[in-house]
Amino acid sequence: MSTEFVLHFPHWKPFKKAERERLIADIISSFNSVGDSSARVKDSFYESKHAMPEVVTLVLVVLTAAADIATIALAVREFLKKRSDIKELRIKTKSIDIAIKGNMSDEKILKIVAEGRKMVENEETK
Amino acid sequence: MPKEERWLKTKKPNKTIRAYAFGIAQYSADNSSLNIEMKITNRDFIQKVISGELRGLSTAYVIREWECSICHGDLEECPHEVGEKYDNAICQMIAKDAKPIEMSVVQVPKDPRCRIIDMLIVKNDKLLEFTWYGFRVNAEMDRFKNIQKAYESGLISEKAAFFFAKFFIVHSEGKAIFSQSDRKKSVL
Repeated sequence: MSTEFVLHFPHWKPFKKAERERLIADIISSFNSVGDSSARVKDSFYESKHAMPEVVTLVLVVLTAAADIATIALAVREFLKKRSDIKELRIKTKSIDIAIKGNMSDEKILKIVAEGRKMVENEETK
Repeated sequence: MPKEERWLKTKKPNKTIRAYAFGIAQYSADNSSLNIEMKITNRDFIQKVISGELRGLSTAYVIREWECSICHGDLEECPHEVGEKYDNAICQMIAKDAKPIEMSVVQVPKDPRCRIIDMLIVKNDKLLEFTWYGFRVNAEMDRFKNIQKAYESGLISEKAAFFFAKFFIVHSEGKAIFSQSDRKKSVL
């Protein structure tokens, strides 16, 4: 079982190759730090939305064997701790969409993940 | 919340609207602009565009490759930085491989600069075709003059003037073809 999710990095211009590779390496090492060595970036591209060409967003599609969204959220928090220039990241899977900040505690992350799951369950029972 | 009507793009030759929008990122798919086709699902839409109720544009693209306007190489790998000046030319990012994923015509666009500016309606009975075109006319030049004026009076920097001028270059073009049965009911 694997989980695919996307991370969005809004910026006013495209990243240089070295910057993008550093970003990807930081994400992979953050997953390693929470005990998940399976994470890999499956795809990366840019998005420009709302007819605003001055804002481009780097989208990373990440694939990991970790089925638990809490593990992914903890890894993303570790990444944000390393990268103080990024304040917040949204984790989007097919069913869940949560925002993670670098200063969040384990309890706070588990609470957000549980709330996200509850919302998905409520949607499914409608 | 503004009322928003949305159509996904389609490649079908009939019943389409074409819209072009470009700014600092010059989309190279079709002569420095992207060609987006949308299916009209609601005939009232045309009347709304004519009346001015719906004139805003909101677009989304996926871009896989950027070109540098200075060296025309891969922007990710070249040494030039977007916005910096090199021999009197400012480095711009050019979306080399861009694919439109969504185009919306909205009442209040998130970016107010992206709008259908003006239109001319041509009724062609033989081809059962209604066409309208957006012109860049003088309005754009007036805006540019205002930016120039603001720059000359020291209100904005040269860099900002350059970016603002580029952002204002937005135009669109539309075309709709209806079937015989649609035409009978048409409000035009």
